Amino acid sequence: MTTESILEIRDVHFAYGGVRAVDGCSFTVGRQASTGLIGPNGAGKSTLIEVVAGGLRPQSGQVLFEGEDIAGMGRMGIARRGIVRTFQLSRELLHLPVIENVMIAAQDQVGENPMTALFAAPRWRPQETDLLQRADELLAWVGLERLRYAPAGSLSGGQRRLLDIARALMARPKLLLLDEPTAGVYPALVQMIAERLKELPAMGVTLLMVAHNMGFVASVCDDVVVMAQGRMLTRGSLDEVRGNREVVQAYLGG
Amino acid sequence: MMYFLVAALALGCINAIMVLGFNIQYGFTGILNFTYYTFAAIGAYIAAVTTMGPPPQGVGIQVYILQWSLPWPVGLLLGGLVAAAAGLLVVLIAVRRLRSDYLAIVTVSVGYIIWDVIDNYIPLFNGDNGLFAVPHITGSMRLSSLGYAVVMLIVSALCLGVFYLVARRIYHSPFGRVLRAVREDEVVAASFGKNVFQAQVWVFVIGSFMAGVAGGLLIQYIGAWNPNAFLPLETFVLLAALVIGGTANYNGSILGAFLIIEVVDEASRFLPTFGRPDLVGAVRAIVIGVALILVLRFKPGGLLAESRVRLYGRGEAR
Repeated sequence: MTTESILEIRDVHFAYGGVRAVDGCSFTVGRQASTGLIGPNGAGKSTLIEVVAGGLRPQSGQVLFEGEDIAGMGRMGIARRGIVRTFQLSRELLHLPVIENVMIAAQDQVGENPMTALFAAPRWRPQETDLLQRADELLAWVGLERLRYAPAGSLSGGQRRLLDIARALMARPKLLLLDEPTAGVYPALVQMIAERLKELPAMGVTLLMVAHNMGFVASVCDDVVVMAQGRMLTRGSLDEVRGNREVVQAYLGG
Repeated sequence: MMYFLVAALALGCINAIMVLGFNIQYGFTGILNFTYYTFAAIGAYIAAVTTMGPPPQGVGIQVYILQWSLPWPVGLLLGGLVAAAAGLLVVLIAVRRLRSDYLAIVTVSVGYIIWDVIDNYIPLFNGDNGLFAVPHITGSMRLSSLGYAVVMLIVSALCLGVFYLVARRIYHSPFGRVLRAVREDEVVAASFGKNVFQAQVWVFVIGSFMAGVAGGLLIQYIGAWNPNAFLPLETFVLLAALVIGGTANYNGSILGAFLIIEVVDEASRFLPTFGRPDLVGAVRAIVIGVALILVLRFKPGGLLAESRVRLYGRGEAR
């Protein structure tokens, strides 16, 4: 799976005060692979995702994305390079309609420049039409098309997870970071989310996801990285890591 | 009676411009700028000192900077531009590192600093006495009070029309969508590559410009301006108008400005004095407060809730 890597985590350290959440973590993520990031609570998974997404600046180490060190670049710069993330707790723009939540994610919108927006409407209106169409397609793909105009705050927890995915794809990411995409979602919907995520590598999207639901990981990921105490413990297929004594011990707190 | 009506409409248009600019900052983008009215004051002073020339004789001594005699539309524009520049300065210093709640506190202090400087540094804008006898924009043309009110109504309504179109265009553009995203969740906006800081800077500058122009119109109409006219508390009347009219709704700003500032705040000045001399003013403040509470309790989005999104390309406005 890891023929060519798109992301390389190199000896990354991040501490919240004295708590060393990520402590010398290194691994690579193959292009168009689906990599699961698992490990017990407090292993540093979410912190690592936050470092990759630009919300946290690592104290040392490198995060190489397509060969460029993006560590500490900030959310905006990293998003513009093609890394998009979802949040552990869904963060929708609650008062805005579902369709706007999706459209906001599109990159390179010419009408986002205030002067263009004000004085050159003919330059952004055609793009707006295209974006609207793509947003509608994505909403139909996750089955939310009938909620197009509903405020995102009125959606259920599971629907928000689906909206998260549609919104992330609107940005046409190269690398999609998912932080517990099925937290608080009922089983039938977990299945649907898994089906949708499995289609992504064929669309050219690389997935790196934090997940606790092993059935979900088994169905979506072809490769699993196990983290414990801020670093990579082992990696391999889910079956391989399941048989690993160290992994069992890490999970049981041994 | 006719005069009062026209005068109220003219002042209503001017106030509507202020509320509209405030709405772009707070309603569209979520930046709570408690010193918004200070930028109106800056616009007013600049519009005056760039157009009134040397101090008029025979009405009392005034000292102020510049003393230019530019045509009034240029003064108005300069007032807007200087207010915008001041806004840029504040936003660059304050917004860079501050979240919205802390920013709100900083704007209060900035407002008091500017107020104190203008109040105490007399050579700037005549200090505590302020500027007065600011000439009419019609120059030496002889007009009745009604005639001048009509002229100012036309000028103010034209300005309001332009700013209304600007606000509407911003709201329905991709830029407006970025502003709404920033308002709802800055982290999400940044996570999708939006330049949050740049959006906030633009909005602060655009809003300050509108405040400056409105302030310029106000001084050209009423002919005088002193520090009592822009006590930092004035912004709260605008905030009440904004919230009651409908936050983030550009039509609501105009409704709120006419309803709250005109009907309640200004019209009550014409009430006959009864009871203690300061009773009318107190009642006015109470009425605004009660209206605010009632709206927040029964119609939290304001009388006109946030506009539905208009989507281009499908021929439907929802």
